[in-house]
Amino acid sequence: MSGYTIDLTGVWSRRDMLLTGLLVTAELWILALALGLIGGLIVGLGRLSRRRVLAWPSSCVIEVFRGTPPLVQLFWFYYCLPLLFDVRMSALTTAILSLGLFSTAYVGEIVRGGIQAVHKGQTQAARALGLSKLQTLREVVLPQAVRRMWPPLMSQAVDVLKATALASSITVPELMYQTYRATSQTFRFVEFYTVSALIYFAICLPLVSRLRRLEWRSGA
Amino acid sequence: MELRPSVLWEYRVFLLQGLVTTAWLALAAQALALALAVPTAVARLQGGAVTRRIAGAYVEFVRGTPALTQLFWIFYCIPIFTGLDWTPLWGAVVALGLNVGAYDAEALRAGIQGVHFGQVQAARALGLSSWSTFWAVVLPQATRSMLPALLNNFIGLLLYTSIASTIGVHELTYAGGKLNTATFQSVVVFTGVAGLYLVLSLMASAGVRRLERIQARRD
Repeated sequence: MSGYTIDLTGVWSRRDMLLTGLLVTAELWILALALGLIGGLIVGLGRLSRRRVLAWPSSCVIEVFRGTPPLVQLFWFYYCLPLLFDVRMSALTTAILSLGLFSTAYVGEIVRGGIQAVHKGQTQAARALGLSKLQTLREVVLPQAVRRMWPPLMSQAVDVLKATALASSITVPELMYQTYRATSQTFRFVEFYTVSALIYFAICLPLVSRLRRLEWRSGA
Repeated sequence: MELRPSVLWEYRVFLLQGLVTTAWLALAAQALALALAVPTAVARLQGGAVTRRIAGAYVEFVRGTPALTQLFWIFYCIPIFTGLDWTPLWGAVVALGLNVGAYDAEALRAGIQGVHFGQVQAARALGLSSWSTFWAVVLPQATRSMLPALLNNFIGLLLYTSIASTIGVHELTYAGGKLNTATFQSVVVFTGVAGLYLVLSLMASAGVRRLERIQARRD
């Protein structure tokens, strides 16, 4: 059908739907990222630890959540958590937890890479100057590692935003879910999916272009 | 609730069929991705102002939107514009191929740009044509960094084929969902499905690490 005419009135009249979806997307994105940053710091450091009790579980979390599809992780949390632990959670909470662990695994690897990239002499010098292990980590190693971690962390933030769309399949009323619902009411597939894609793109674009500037400056 | 791990064995053929579709989908999408990535990378590196911009827009737009949105857009909107009547499987191949094509194009571009410019200058100074410089000097060096990146993209693709279940492709995740509603053995089914993906991706990433070790030994 070549004579397809674009009609955006349906999109405009359902802008509230898209907007509420966008707010849920934002909530899911920010909370999952926050969880991922905290969790990632823990498992990233844990994996580097010489103690097996710390290194092993950290490695497991990282390998499992990087080695399975985020969609299957969402299904697992949505269907299995209530059965295994007898907990009742909203779909949104489930998605925050699931995507939070998903980003924990990736942030963990970023943290590990950032710390390993800091020259060993830095740690040795700090320890020789009498700083404790914790002080060395907090005052010497982490500040240097964080600078290296910025670009991959920003690209991880973009990845998590894109992964929030998957939460629609466990009925989280975020942007993708609302878009799908709107198309089933209006059959305006082209308009709604294009607008929805443009919204995601508009959020990603400033992050991606800032990321490019960072990479360019660091010469990568 | 009683756990019955045996359902995985009872429905092994069903799950295996899903796994085969997953593998087929990943390979078909990968073929399309490479077919798109090479011209896109060339356009971004060597193209004129217009082709450069088109290739750049493709890469940026794919990288800036969720794969799920792309899948729905392609699967529902392409038939509206073209009148094409296609199956979910082909929709998924095209959508995932377009998606990974953009990431692969970036991997190719980064690999080629990572080769030091002095190499090109030296080759040209020695009298090699621009084509021989590319084939004999730049590409062999670029391949070293491109190959692991492309393989990592493939692992990502293998996992992301799971989103094809949302448009009704009978792949592994879809099979898991069906099995879940048929048996109510959610824990067993989804753990089993996740385990299968994990085995696949761990095997693939072991392959990547091995490749990197072989490359390191050659230096």
